[in-house]
Amino acid sequence: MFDAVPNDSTGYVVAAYVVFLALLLIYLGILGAKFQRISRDISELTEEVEAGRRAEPAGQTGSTEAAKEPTGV
Amino acid sequence: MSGRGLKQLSILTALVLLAGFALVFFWVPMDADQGFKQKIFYLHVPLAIVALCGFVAGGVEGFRHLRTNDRSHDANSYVFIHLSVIFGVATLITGMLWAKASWGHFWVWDEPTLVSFLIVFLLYCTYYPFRYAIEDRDRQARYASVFAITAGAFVPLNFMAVRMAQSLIHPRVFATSGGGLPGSMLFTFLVCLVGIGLLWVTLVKLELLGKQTSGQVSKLRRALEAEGFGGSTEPTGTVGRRIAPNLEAQ
Repeated sequence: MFDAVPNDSTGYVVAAYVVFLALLLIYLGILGAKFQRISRDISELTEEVEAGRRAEPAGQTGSTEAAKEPTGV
Repeated sequence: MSGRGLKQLSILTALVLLAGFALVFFWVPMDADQGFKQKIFYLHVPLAIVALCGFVAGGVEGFRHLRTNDRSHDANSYVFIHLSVIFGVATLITGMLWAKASWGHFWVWDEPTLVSFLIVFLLYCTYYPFRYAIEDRDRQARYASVFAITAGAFVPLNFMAVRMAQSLIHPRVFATSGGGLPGSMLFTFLVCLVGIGLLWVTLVKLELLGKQTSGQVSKLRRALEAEGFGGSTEPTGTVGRRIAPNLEAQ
């Protein structure tokens, strides 16, 4: 693998690169968790909007739907 | 949009980093003086350079925020400094491992390069408590920008002071006259430097994308509440817990 037999400092070299990779993975994990929370927030908002639409009075719902559905007029 | 080109940038970063590390372990010759432990140089020095450049860039963004009063510059400044502090942690740990392998000690207090980097790192560690001690968001952003400019100006001054100290302990691989790195080592170092730099840019873009998205979610929630949708006044998830600057205005 190497052009000479590594001396007793091999462990430190490996440790340095492992620390770098570990820090990178931890940071990416934290970012991933953050994006998961954002995704959950968006899901909650979507549910709230859908629940709000369902709770609207029938007449209002009808007008809302009428505005969205093609009427053919 | 912060997320534009992120996929391509991530792939490029991974490729350059992998190429750099492959060159370090399979191609570049062993250093005649330090031997195998010199391989840490290709990780430690790029991390330090990118971290210090990130601190300066944070100061530049702080300056732009004060000039334009655009909150996106404040968010940029925060993210630049945040990422550079993390890179600073990696620099310190890899440096300590290199010091232990080379000098037999994890830390040498009479070495100006080490101590000056630690001072810069600790200075930027105070950025967080300083920032979040101020509740008013506008004042927080303004004061943080002033901090970023002042500390950012300190970084190159500190670097020049250390270069002038001319210690014999810390290796001077980029000599101003004579010596310096052989071609293969310099090439490998530059590939690693570009890789670490790209990693910093990728992580900055990811972090900014997260802030932008959570800002938009927050804005959307308020708009829906104003329209009468959603009964919860206590926002959950990222929206309610946010202390770092987000990009709601965009």
